[in-house]
Amino acid sequence: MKENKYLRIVGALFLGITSTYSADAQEELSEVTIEAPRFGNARYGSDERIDTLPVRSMADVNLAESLAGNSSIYIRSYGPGLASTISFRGYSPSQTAVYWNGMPLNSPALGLTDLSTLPLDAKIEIDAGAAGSLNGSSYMGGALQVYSNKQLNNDLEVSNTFTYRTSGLFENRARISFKTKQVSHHLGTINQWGPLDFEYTDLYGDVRERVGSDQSAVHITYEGNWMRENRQLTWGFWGSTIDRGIPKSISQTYGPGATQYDDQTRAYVRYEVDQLRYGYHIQTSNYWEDQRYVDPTASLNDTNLAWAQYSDASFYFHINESLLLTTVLDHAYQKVKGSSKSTSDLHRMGAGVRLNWTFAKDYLILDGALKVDHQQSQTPLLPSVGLKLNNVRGFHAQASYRQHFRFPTLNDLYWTPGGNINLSPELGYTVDIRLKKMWDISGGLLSLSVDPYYSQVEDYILWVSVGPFYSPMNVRKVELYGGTVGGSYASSSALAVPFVIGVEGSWNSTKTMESTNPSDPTLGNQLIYTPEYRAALNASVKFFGASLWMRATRTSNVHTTTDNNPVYDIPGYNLIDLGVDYTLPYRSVNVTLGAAVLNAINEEYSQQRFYPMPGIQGNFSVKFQFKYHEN
Amino acid sequence: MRINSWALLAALPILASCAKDDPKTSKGNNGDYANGMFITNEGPFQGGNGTLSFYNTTDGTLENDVFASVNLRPLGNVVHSMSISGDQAFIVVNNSGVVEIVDADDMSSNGTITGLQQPRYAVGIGANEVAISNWGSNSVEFYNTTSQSLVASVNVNTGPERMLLHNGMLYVANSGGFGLDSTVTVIETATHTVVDTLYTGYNPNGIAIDANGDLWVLCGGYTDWNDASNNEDGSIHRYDMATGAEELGLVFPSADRPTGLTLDASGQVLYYLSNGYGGTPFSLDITATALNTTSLVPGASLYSMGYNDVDGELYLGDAVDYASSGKVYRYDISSQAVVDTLTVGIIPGNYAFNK
Repeated sequence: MKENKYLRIVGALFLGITSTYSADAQEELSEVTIEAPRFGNARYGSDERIDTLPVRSMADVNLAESLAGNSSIYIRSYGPGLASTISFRGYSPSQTAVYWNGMPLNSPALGLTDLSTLPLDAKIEIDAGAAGSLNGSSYMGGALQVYSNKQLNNDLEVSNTFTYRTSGLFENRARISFKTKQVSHHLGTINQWGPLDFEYTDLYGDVRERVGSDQSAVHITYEGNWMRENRQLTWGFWGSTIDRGIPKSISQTYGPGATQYDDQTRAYVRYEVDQLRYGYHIQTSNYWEDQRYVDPTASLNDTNLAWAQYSDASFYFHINESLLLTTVLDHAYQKVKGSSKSTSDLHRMGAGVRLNWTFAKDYLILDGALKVDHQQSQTPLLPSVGLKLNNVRGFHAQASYRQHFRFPTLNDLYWTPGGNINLSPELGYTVDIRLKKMWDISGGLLSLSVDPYYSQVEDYILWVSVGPFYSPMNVRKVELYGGTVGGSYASSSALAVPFVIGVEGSWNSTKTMESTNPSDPTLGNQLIYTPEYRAALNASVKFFGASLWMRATRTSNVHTTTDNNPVYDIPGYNLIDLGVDYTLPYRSVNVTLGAAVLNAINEEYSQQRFYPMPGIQGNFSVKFQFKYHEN
Repeated sequence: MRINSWALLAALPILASCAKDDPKTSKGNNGDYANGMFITNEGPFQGGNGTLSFYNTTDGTLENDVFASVNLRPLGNVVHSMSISGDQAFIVVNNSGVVEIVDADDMSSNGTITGLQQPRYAVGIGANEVAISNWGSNSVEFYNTTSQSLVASVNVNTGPERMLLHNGMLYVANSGGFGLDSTVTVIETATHTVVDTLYTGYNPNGIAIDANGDLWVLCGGYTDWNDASNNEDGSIHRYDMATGAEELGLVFPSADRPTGLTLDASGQVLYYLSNGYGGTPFSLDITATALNTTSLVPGASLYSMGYNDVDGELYLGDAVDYASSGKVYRYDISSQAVVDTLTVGIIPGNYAFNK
């Protein structure tokens, strides 16, 4: 019980308003790897914006599903097994950064990450806010940090989780971890397969079966870390091959047999030295993707290859007890070729400096940074400044002004026809305020928070028709503002039935202020595929050793046309998921059984016009976990 | 079960008055689409469906999404064109690879031809047959409209698009697809055989036969987006139907990619757009020996053009930003003025007049 209490407090601190999690999610939290301060790590200085995502390890099959419980995030999915993208606060998916153990994951070609290709066996951090002047391109709306390389507490851990979902999906996750004196190794495989052939009722009342959506995905991961005193070497490899049939929507976009193939590899190695006074890290990583669309009925065979190499070196130095200096140098090399573009590549370089000043008896932290990046002829120079108030009688506050930017992607620059090599980067700024108050009530922890923001983005890149094709242009100035309000309560673990409940709501206005086209229909309108509000309720309760959880969300309608014509809106929808997990410990083996009802109210909804999402589904999981520790 | 609110709103008054009808069929616009202009709207760039609008020329009312309001299902992806033959209409849905066969006057579905490869246009052949230009397979497919079964498939040249039926012969403009072509294929519809190939300018995209019985072919030209030195100019040609001899050939300015050829009711005046992506409308008398240099609507930026031969009006389609409701301007030819603006579906691309 003591461990549970500790976890609840740590969880509440990290999770803030979204802190609702199952027993398994809490278990994940106990394995956080503490990293040395890094320039781009917004967590330094205990950034109040960082939340740890409550992964439902016995219910979720990819990252998109886990993220749905956060109201500031909007997931846009073409349906199970198909592409899913994420956006924060009304920003676009390409204005959202995704990292895997510090390695950028956004495709060099598209500039975004398909969340449906990200399996779950990791700790996820969410940063709902801009940090471009700290991290570089695309960190405008926010970021996801996926951490899977963890230190091992036992000599040997073996686990296997098998999941069946009644919408037509099977998943098996296997992982083995072991360590020698100084080295930990983690080997994992994740297989997903199934027809995903659920029935749905279309907008006109016809019951249809989703056909042609068979998918098969295999992920193989190997990660390791070596640690000795104040030095650490970590490395990882992640390979995946995904074949996914593209089902006909009711608009029948694709012919039967259309398939998308995604093959990807990612690898990284990082060396860190963490002295008390100073430290540094050097990291290099590599990304490769081969994405192909094949549609035999349309004689379509489209291939897109992309590579990226990222390297960075970061150094920190405590000038004195109050001042911390952090610097970074980074370099990226990106290359693409494919059916629609000739071989093209580019280099990107960046440098930054950041200073943190802790004062007023450690209650206040003033933070300033300056970063410069260079790609082709573009060299944005971006400052940021922030002030944070540490815990004063449970009150936390943070305010920041951060500039941010996004370089054009390789598709923006070189797509044939239409690529525009004269594009300027999107440039913007965000003013953030976060206020949080925590109270200890009857041994439990009550937390309330509010998180308003205001942003502007100039030279917004948009693909517009310039003839018989589309071409990206810097056409708009966009204004974004809104905020998130929420609260959570984690009861005392001493209660017979301890529980956690959290509720939050986010509102985002994302409208075009100016346009190079004076008759641009989007002027004054909400951008397409950006909901104005989302709300989420998360709760869990322990009852006779079982963990019962529920998640309810409300997503408002989204516009799909620039003039916000309601005829073409995707209607808003409500979702409720319910589940129970129960763990049977036997010596060194834990067997966890999970059962869940997803979309319990059988809502008929979609996140992309005419691509249905499944109705009510059962999700059944069984997990075996073996841990061995010599002592 | 949930029905999208807009579809429900559109269907409610109809459902109430047609309680005994097939529950999957209602009658929008009082089931009367007998007099007016159909406008095919391709649909939004990102995965949505195209729609069909109807402008009633008798009472001046506009109804959007008429196919869905009657048949309670969407048309599909990229609604490219529509043609009317007798009491049947054919709606060509390009990306979906289908042609919907409907009653031209009440829009009720009479069947769907499926399995096509990027179909572009359809032309009725008699009472029970339709010819479909199958852009993706460089062929013209002949289907029985009653059984929706394939009658014949005729290979033509690259990228067949617009067709014209005249005296039992089907003239097929081979528009070049992603590349180049310069032919018009002539198919005898009775035997489904190619009887002639006419060599013309680069990438023909429109055909008309004027009051003198001469054949006009509008050629869009070619743009190589990687190498401008490969570009070819657009042109318009007039041929003697009896001998096949070219009587006139006019070349457009190099920036133009003309499209949308149509002929007025008298057969004396041709109309076209200087460019299908932001062009302006021009007229050309069939006796002219040079292109007009003055646009009918200077400064317009249009995507498509149709013709109402009863009222003598041009319908000028503006795709706006290709992601919002399109505009169609009714242009009265006699007064040379825009008399009305219709807000239609997304990317209005083609027109069919039902009279």
